[in-house]
Amino acid sequence: MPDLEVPLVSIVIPTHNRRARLLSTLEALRRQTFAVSRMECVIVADGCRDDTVAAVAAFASEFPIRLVELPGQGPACARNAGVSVAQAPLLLFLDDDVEPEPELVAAHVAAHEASVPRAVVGAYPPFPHASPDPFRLEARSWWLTHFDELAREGHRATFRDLLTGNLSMPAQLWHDVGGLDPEFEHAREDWELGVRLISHGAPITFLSDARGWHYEHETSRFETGYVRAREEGRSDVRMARKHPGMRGELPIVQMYPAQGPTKRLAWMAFDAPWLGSLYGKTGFRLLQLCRRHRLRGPFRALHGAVRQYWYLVGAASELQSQRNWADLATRDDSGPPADLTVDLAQGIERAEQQIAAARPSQVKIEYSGRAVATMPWLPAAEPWDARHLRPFLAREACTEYSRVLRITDAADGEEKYNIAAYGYISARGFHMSLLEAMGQWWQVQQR
Amino acid sequence: MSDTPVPPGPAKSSGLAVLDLDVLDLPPAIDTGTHAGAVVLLRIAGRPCGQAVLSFRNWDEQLPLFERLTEAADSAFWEAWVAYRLGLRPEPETPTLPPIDVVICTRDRPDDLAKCLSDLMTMPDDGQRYTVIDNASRTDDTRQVVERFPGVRYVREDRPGLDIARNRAIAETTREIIAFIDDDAAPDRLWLRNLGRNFEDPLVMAAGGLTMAMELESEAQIAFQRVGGFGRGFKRMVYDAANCDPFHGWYAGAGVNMALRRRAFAEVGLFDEALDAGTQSLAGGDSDMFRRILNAGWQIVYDPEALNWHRHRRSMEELKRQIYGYEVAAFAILTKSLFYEREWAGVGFLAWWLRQRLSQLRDSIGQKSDLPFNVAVTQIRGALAGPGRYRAALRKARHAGS
Repeated sequence: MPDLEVPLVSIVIPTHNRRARLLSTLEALRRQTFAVSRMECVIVADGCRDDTVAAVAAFASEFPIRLVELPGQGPACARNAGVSVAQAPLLLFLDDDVEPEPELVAAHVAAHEASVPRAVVGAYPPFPHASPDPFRLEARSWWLTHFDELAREGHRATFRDLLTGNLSMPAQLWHDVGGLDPEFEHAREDWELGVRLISHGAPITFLSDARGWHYEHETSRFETGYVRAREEGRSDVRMARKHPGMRGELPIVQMYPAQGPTKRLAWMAFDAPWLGSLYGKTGFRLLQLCRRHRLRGPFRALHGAVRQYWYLVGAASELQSQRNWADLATRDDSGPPADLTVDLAQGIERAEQQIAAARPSQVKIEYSGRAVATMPWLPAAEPWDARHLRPFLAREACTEYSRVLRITDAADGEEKYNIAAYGYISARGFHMSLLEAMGQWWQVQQR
Repeated sequence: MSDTPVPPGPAKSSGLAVLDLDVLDLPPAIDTGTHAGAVVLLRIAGRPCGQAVLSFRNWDEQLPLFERLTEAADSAFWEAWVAYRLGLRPEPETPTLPPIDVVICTRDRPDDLAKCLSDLMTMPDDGQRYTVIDNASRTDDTRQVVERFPGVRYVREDRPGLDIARNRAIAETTREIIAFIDDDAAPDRLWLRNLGRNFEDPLVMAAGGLTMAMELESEAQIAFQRVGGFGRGFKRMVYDAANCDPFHGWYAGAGVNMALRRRAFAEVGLFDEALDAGTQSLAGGDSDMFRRILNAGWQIVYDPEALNWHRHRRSMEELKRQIYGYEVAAFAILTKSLFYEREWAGVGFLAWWLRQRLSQLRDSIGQKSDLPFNVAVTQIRGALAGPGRYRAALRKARHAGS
C-alpha cells in the first residue's frame, strides 16, 4: 500500500507575468487521468508584477500547490528553487504556456517505471494557430520541425533535445547531475543540462504521448526575440568554455572564421557598436515593414541576419575581442577512431546486436569487407544503439545502401549498373522533383 | 548511351505505353507492342512509390525486367525500396477518415464522366458521398449518365464556370472534407483514402494528390508530360508559407486531384468566380484557393499516394491553349493580389517570373524543339493578357452576381 500522503510527482512551473495562461495550465492539470491526489504542483513566481501570486493562492485544486516567490532571476534559478521545495521522487517541469493534455502526467510517470534513470522529453508542439505574420510562420515552423525530428524513427538524441518546457526526470538524477547551472540565467540552461545528462550516461527519451500544447503564438514575441538571441550568444560562449569537447556544435564556434556578411556583422558586434546599434534599429524597422506587408522572403533573409547580429553582440560581450573568439573557436573535429565495425553480409540483425552490445560512438558499416558508410561520431550525443541502424541506412546512407541491395539482388553478386536516381536521393521539394523527372525523359532520349 | 546523334524524344511515330507495375509482383516480360517506350508507375506492395521512363529502342528481352526498372527508377522509388527492404515501411493502418463529399464538376463530357464514376465505385466504401455538378451542359446526357449510378447525386448549375460549379458544390454538400476530381480523370483504388488521411492535423486546410497520365499516345500528350505535366513528384510534402511562396501554392496540388476542409471557405472565402475554366481568366481557381490558404498561415499537404489518372489533351492546339491559359491565370491572380487585395508580396513573384521566363526565352532561341510552338513565347503572351482578362472576368462575374 503506497503512502498516500507523499506525492509521486512534483510538477514545477516557473512563471513570469502570465497569470491567465498559468491558470489555464493549472486547470488542465486538474483534468489529468493520473490520480491528482498523487501529484503536487510547485509554482515559482519569478518577478511577477501582475497578480499571479494572489490568483495562484486563490486557485482551488485537488492537489497541493506550493508557491515560491523570486525577484526575477530567470528560468534556471526559478526551476532550481522549485526543485528545492518539491517533495516527490519524480520531477516534471512544465512551462507556463504549455497546456497539458489529460494523459500527459500519466505518460511521464509510466515512462519512468522500471527503467534506468532517464530524462523524458514530452512533445509540446505549437497550438494549432494560423497567422499570416512572417514571424509567426517562422516560429511555428521551427517548433514543428523540432518535434518532427524528435519523433522520427531512429532519431539520435543530442543535447539539443533537452528542452525544459515539458520534461521529467527522477529527482535523484537531477541532483546527481547538479540541476541547472545558474550561470546560464536567460538562455541555453536547458541545452547545458542536456550536455551533462549525456556525459552522465543518462538516456534522453522523447515521448510523443506526453503531449501539451504550446501557446507560443501568445507568448513568444517578435520584439523580445533579439534579446533572446543576444542571451544565446552570451550563453554559448560560456558553454563552449565549460564543455570544450562539444563546442564544435555551437553556432559561435561554427561561425568562425567569419566570412561574407557574417564577417561584417561580427565587425560591428565586436568593434563598431555605434554602427551596429544603427544596424539593429534600422533592421528592426525594416522587419516590421516586412511583417506588415507579409514580405516573407525579405523577412526571412533580414531576420536571420539581424538575429545573427544580436547573437554576436551577446557573444562579443562575453569574449571582449575577436582574438579571444579565435582562441575559443580553434578546435579539433577529428573525434575518436571508430570503435566498432559491422559487416552487413552477416545479416542486419547481427549488426544490430553488435551495436546494442557495444553502444559505440562511431560505427563503420561494411558489406563483405567493402566500406558502405560510417555512423559518425558526434559530441554531446547519445551513443549509437540497435534502433538507429536501419533508419540510418534508409536516410543518411540511402544511396550507399541501395548499392548493397543491387549487389545482394543480382544473381551473381556483382553490382552491374548505376542507377539514374543518383544525386536526387534525399532531395525534396517541387523543383527537385521536376528536375529529376525531366532528367528521366532526357535519359530516354539519349538511348 | 549512343555515340551517334539521335532525334530528340522517343520515336515520334508511336506513343508511349503507360504501365502500372508492382516490383514485388512483376510479370515475366512486358509487351512493348508498337510503343517507343513506357512510363511506368512503380509500386511496392501496392503502394505507389515512384516512376521509371523506359525506351524500347534496343530493348533486350533477356535482361531481367526488375533490373531494367530499378535502373531507370527515380529517387523516390529508391528511398521507398531501401526503407521497404530494411523493414521500415509498415503497411499504413486504415486511417479514421473524416466524413468526405466527393465532387465532380462536369460539362458535356458524358463518356469521360461515366468512366470516372465507374472507377470511383471501385474504391473501398468508407462512407463517402458523391455529387456531380452538371455545369451548363448543352445536352441531357450528363443527367442520364448520373442516373445510372445509384447513390450519386445530380445537381444542375446553369451558370457556366468551373469556380461557379465548385462554389455550388460547396453549397450543396455538408461534410467536413470536399474532394474534387475532374471528369476526365480516374482514381486509383485508394485515391480517396490516401487523400483524406492528411486532415488529422487541424492546421491542414487542403491536400493535393499526384496525377499521372492515363495515356501517352499523341505527341501533345507526351510533350505535356515532358514539360512537367501534372508531375509534383513522389515525395510527400507539407507546405506552408514558411517553405512555399503562396503564389506557388499549386506546387501542392490542382483541381484535378484535391480535397479541402470546409472550414477553409470560412477562413479565406469561396472560389473566385472570376477565375478558371469558363471565364476570361481560363484557369487558376484552384491555385488561387491554395494561395489564399497558405497566405493565411494554414498548411497544405501534397500526398503522392493519393493517385489519380488524367487523360491529357490530345492535340497540340489544345496543349498550346492550356499552357497559354496557365500563364493567363497566374497573372490574373497576380493582378488580383496586387490591385484588389493590395498585397505587396506579388512583386517578389513578378521578379521570380521575369528571371525564369526571360532565361527560358533566351535558351529557346535557336534550340530545336519537338513542339510546333515556342513555350516561353506562349507563356509571355499569356502573362501579358492576364491582367486585362482578369478585369474583364471580374466585371462579368460582378454583373452576374448583382
